[in-house]
Amino acid sequence: METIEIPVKTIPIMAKTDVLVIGSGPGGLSAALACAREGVDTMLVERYGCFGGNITQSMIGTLAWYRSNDKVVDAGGVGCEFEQRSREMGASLSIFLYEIIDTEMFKYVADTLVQESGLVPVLHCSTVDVIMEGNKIKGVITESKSGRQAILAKRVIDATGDADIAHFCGAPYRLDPKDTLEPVSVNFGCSGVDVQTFLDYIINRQTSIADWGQESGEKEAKEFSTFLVEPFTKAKENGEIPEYAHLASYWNDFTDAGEVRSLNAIHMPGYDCTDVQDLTKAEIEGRKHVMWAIKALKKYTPGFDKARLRTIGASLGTRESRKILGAYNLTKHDVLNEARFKDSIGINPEFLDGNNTAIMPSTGRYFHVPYGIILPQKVENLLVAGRCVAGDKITHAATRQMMCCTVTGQGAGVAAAVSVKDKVTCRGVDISKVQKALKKQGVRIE
Amino acid sequence: MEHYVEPSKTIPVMAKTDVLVIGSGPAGLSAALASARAGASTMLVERYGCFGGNITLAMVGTISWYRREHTIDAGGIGVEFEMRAKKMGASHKDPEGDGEMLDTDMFKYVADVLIEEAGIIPLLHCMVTDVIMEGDTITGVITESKSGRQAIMAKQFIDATGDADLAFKTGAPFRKEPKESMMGTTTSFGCSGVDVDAFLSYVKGNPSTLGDWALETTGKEDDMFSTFISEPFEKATAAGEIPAGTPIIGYWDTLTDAGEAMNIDVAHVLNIDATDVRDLTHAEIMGRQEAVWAVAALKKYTPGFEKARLRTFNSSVGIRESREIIGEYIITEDDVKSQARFKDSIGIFPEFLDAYGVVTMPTTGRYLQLPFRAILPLKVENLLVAGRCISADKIAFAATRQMMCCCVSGQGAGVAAAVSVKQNVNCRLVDIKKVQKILKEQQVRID
Repeated sequence: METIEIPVKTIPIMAKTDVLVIGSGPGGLSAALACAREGVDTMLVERYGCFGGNITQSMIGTLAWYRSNDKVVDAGGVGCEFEQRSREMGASLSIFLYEIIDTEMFKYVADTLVQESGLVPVLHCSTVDVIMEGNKIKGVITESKSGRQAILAKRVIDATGDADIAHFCGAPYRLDPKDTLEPVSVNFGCSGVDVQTFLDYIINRQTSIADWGQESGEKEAKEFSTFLVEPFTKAKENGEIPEYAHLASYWNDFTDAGEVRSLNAIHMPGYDCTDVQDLTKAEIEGRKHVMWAIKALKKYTPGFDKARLRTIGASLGTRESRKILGAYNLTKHDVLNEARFKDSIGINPEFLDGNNTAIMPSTGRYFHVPYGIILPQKVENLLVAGRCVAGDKITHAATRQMMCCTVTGQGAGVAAAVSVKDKVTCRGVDISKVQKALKKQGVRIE
Repeated sequence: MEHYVEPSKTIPVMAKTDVLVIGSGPAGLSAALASARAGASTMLVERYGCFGGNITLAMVGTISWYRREHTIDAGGIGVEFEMRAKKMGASHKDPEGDGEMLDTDMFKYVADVLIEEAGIIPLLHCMVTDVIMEGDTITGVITESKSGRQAIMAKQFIDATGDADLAFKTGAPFRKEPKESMMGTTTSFGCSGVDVDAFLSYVKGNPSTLGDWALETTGKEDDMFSTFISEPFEKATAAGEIPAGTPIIGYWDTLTDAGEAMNIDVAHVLNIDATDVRDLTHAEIMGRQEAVWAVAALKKYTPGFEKARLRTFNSSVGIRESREIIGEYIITEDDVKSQARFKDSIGIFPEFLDAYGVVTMPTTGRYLQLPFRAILPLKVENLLVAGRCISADKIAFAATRQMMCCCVSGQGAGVAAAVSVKQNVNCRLVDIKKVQKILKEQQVRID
């Protein structure tokens, strides 16, 4: 392959901070808020124009859709705060025991939380490299309309989803072959829906979780699920949409203004989201799928005959890419057997969704999320949060969940803050101090 | 300010192409389509997740709101956007003009289709961050994306970044007004749950004209219908619901029979330098806050909006101005007001000005020719500029910044770049007659 030499370059240092969080999805937003609330200087750098990542960019507002009965336990903390704050600000629909967050209004909820916390936000700013001193991360390099600049920080939290920062640092990770990775989704919403007609149709044909999970237990088969596949099957049978299009829709975000706002209908396997060519293909192909989906919905789903496209997500949604190798790597056994860890940074319900696994946490079972999975090997003063934390493929079905991302995020934020205050590395932080601070922030550790 | 010295690095060349277009807003998308259709191998690099720029990301669908009975347009790709969108169910009736208003989310798909049909090589989620020069000649760009840092080499380059970022990085001269005197940024938003009939009755009973908001007109604009709306925001401010001095005022646009009022253009933030990431951050956060205040005011004071709620914010704050290059020719106020004619015309644009409160509507059939030299930066070779950052003085900018004019300068740049490649010349030396011939073949009116 042809290469080009880039000469030495002198770039301005745009800022210095204590803790720098890269990425503002469920993982990063939680980390930044948690950290700022511990009283250390915190900066949050986000590549796009709003905070929220998977919530706002990819239009998924169902942080806690697994909360199907009152036996389900949560860590509480910032993730649950996202739900409550959204409800208070008129930015959610209360359904059963959870909130369906309005993914557009959440941009504003996030702005509000950010401003209240005193952290320093930077939007439209991509993080493109790191500054290292030996194996210690000292800062990052960013690109934005201001040009190429550096940010120096004592601790960095990689909440990029794809462990980009860990990758730049040379921290070890695994990236499974793309044909084994979870599919990507381009999400969309419709307006002009006769919601009552649609709901009548749905209630008359209850669907269950077992439709989409192959490896699930008896209890899942009885739980109500918001799953719709008929219109797409019919459209394929009639040759109106291609056979290869994997279309099956979750729906639950509907309004009395005729909107079904967030349809997670499109699943496209075989993309590596750390590859810009794949990202490009996936976005374009995804939008094609959106048009097919709407066509099918209009034709075969009662209530949708006058529906039209309302919004397409600003970014496709990635479910799986790099997974760091951590100080500890979470195992299938851990997540299915209520593992307990001394270095717990929060509990997580026994909820798995992905890699052909569907387990709902309606039993009240839960596992501890250990600090070791957010601590990369080899690199000092870097933590990771979100779906790229350490663990095998089955654990990913649990740790990739947005609520779990808020748990690892909040844990990372507090750990980074405590390590700054105590002047120790993230690896050397006193975990009992971290747990104490997390408890104070309302997180259930045990 | 302190500095960091970044060590040298070896990066892969990810692609080579004939014409590389950076930015896919009205100008860039037009440039790429024009170039590909003129037979050049064309690549289009876009920073965000979809094509369309100001249309899809900033949520502005009013590509032809200025068009009246006697307006004369260049035709070409800008008009094609309208027609294709209409055909694909991706447009709405413009309440003010004779044209189509683009559905800003559907246009993401329309753009995808046009690009695929034209055989353009697309790249999304890919930011161009620097240039590779050989003396004064630009030979490549550096990009940053999830794939890391990579280079793209090309023969001709079109800077359609809106902010003339590439031209800036090559050292080409530009001008930039002090931010205090720049037009504000806008967070365009939409509402759902609107009783459109009730709102239209209100509008009928409380009509607005261009004269209500324009600071300077030629007279004929004063009584023209406008979707201008200010009352609810004035009331909310008087009631202390919006902080005094907040510039929430502007226009409603698209209304649908699904009860949506989309692309509401009222939430502005002033004193923003769009080439400063901190300012952009503030513009986004403040803009969304203003949109929320605006929705609350509409709900409280505007018939039809009683049950309305926020539907969507735009993905990226809308920028009206930042840098403009100082090109081989600077289009002047006199040019745009006196139907200037140029031998090196790459397309016409109606006598339509809208900036800084100065409004001239093109109801007369008068028009300007856009000169090729206005898209040619000084000092750098093989680079063309298209869109709102072409070379124009402050008043001429009121015309050249218009999305339709961006399509014209974009299409001109695309064809010029393609012809330069074919003729194997620096675009500064391209045969303008050949360019004009191909533009005419592409249905652009040059004269």
